[in-house]
Amino acid sequence: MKDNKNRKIRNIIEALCLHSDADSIRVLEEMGTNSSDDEIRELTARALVRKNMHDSLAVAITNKGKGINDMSTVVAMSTINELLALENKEEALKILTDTVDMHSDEEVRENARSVKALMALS
Amino acid sequence: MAIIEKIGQVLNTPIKIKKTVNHSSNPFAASTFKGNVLTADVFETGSTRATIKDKLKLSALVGSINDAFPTFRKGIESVVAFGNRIKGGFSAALNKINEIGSIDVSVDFAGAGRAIKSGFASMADNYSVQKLKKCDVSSLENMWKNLSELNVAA
Repeated sequence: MKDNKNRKIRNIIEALCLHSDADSIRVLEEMGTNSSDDEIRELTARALVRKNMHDSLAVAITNKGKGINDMSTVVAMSTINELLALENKEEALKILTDTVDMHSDEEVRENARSVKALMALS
Repeated sequence: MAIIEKIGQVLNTPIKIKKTVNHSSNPFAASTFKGNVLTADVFETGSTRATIKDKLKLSALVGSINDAFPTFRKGIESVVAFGNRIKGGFSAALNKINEIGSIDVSVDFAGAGRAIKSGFASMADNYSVQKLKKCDVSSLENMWKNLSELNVAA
């Protein structure tokens, strides 16, 4: 029963990822990145990265406790992998650079620096 | 000297063609050469009688059949070779089947049935990505909220 529900949510996340409406980013952030379910947070963070838009990448990179800064190692690593898999990394690198330079939280800055280094190597 | 006389006798002896022994209307009777002398009027009806000239012509025909026989034999041999090739191919195919047999090939009807069922299910599923893509964001948000509430309730 739970598997069926998760499958439906997974498909909704996928549909929001493919949606051109910018409001889909808000829904993903509100519903997905705040979920208590690790799997849903992971799927949401990856979907936000795949959208490869400034606002969606900002959610996955600059927010404490979300995306690359998630408390769950699996979620953080999956987000980083998705960032590394991007064909066009230009926007992601720009956000990472801004985060390293200007973010108020030290941990977020460190994470952004590490991911930026990885992306430069890939 | 004796040999020359014998050759002379042979040359002077007129050609003898055995008269009809058995009248047969089967033209393929001519191809059964098992020591039998080919009857000259094998292609004739019983009423007509062949002249010596006709008989000579028919003898020539028999000779030509004999000359042609190696060609027939060659043809038969090629048919045998063809048969052997087919047989060889069939054996190879059988070996392949045996090899495949050791891999244990099976037709999974149950699996196929499940796949078809799942295909129909995805077509009928309102939560397939293809269908969800066409929904607007607020509808998707509502769906997600409803599912989350169900999850909490469960």
